[in-house]
Amino acid sequence: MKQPLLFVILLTVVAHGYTAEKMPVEDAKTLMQHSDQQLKSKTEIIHYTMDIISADGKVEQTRKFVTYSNRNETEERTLQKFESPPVYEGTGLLIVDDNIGQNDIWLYLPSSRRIRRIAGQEKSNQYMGTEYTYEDFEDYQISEYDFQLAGSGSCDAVSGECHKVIAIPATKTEKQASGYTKQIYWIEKKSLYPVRLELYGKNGEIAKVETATGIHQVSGYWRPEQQAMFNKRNGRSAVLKITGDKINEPVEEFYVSKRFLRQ
Amino acid sequence: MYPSAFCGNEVRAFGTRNPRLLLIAILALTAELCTAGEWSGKAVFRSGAGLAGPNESHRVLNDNLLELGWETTRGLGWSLETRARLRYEDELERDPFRDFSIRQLVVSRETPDWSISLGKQDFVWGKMDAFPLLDVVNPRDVREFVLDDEARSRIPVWAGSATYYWNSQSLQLVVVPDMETNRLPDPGGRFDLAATRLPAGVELRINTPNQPENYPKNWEAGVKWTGRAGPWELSSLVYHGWSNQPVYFTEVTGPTTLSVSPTSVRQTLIGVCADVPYGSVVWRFEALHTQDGYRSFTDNAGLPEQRKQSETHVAFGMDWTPQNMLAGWQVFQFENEGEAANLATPSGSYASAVLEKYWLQRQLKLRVFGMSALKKNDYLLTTELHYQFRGRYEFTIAGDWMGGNSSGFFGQFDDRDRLTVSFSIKL
Repeated sequence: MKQPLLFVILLTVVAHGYTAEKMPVEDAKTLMQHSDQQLKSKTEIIHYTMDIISADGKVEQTRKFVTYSNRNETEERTLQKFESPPVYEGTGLLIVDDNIGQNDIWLYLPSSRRIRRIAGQEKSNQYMGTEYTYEDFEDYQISEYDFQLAGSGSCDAVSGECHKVIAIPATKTEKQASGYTKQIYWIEKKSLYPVRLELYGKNGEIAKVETATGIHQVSGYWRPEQQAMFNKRNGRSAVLKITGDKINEPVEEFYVSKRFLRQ
Repeated sequence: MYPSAFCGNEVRAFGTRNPRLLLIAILALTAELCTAGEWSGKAVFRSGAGLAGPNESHRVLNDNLLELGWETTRGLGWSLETRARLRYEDELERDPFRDFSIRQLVVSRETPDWSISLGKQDFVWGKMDAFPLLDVVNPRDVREFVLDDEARSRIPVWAGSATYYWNSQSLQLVVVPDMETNRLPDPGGRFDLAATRLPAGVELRINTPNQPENYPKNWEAGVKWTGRAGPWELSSLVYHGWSNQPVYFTEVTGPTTLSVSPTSVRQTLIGVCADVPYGSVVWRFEALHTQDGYRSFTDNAGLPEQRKQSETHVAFGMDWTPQNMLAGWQVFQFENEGEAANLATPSGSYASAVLEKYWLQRQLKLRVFGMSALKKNDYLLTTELHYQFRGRYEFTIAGDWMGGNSSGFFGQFDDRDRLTVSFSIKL
């Protein structure tokens, strides 16, 4: 039984690589859908170390957290839990995206042992005082955006060739909820991974830049070794280093529920 | 906590009676757990001091607390959480308060469909800020009135809990074999409620509290259902327990002497709560009803008298979480209005507002909470400034002001304003 399974896995891996690089780019939305498929595994557990870096390049604080994701046909659940430093330990966030309207978000603070519901429309808020916002952890939200191809070329600071795609909020809800008026993705041709993302603020100027480096395959899915979010407004940045990544290993629903959030 | 919890008098909490069978069961399971899973330790040290307001000139709080915890890796399967607390305070009351208590000793078993926990624990069921009506299981330490931190003032109870989960719903059964009541201020304490309202020259004699025997028929038990209806998250509960606050049956025993018999009474509580996001805000609603409440009245001779009467408390509010901020308001209707003029209870309508603002990557936090009785015109205002640094240290400075009508719930402590500073370390 093991050999056919290995063959299927190898075929999947090869097929991913082939379709990604050779895929004819018909339109931007199709490209983003393909990229979305490459990104989304059924389940994932990622361990992160996050450095919070000041404008003068000094690491002010290092935080560790773990993210559990579980996706099915109807919804996607993501739970993040801080492991350190002690003042953040146990703090957790649960995001449920059921593809209907805004996401459901719950925040757990161990100091009060109470779970507080947060309006999904406030997704443009800073995430735990970092340069990331809640919406930076969302997927492409394909149904909520208009996508437009803006050429291809060097990935700009990241090796490889990239498609450049402009994403503009298309729905009234997304226009209100998002903190960005425009997003420009650099989708690496080989992996279809977004290796660079430029985020434009409400004033139309570039606000933040996210880069992903060290793209490699984990269980047939392309993943970065490191992601960095640089805030152009204040010069600060947050660097996420992936210290462990398990893809498509069983993640019980328990680990993406309020039960585990409260633990 | 429901508001009748504050209809206080100068009676200490009833004694803790550890249920031995429960403890033995936990220890047996703990021994099993010692050989499985990874363990991690936690420690918190906090020291706080309080200075009186302009009417006083001495220290009013010297609170020192050390918490040590030890737990197994959490997740599905068996786990154990322990937390013990050593606390010393020598200014709040006449006598120093030395307390060693087990805050958590919980053995849990989590399966995809079931959650079972056994031990000393707390249950957070309410959704409102400051006065969650549906937090009915755990009593409170109200020696600092309502000024103490919410989680710190919650008194854990020995209990067993089983929850079954299906679809987006859950049903929880809680059994509490050990009845505990609120920990109230000692006579002469800074927030001794009775001292502020007894007429001059009246002597109060407190009889031994009447508390239930520790038989199974006296255990507390409750059922809580939680589910979804579209974007609404709903909960309802029925809890058959003992009042966290004893009822003070009063008797005239002499020309200037009142005798008070604090008595725990059986109560069946029915509660509902809900929350729903709407646009950029989240609305919350809570209601709690009991048929077995006791209300204070003034009899024909002008003396306080307790009569059985149903009570319903309702609260609703909303909060908004824009960038690095939380802003919200709540309205409470506490329907336990006593007619005795000398009772300062949280009766009637109250409105509260909270503002939390963060700076410096959430290291600096300002919290302002205000609450006011809409008819009696008394108020509470607390302001806290927290600064966290190096991921484990926190410095807090806070001011608490109460004022307005002296017969009001907050106004009775008009002269108890204070400024507190505290420092904590987490390891």
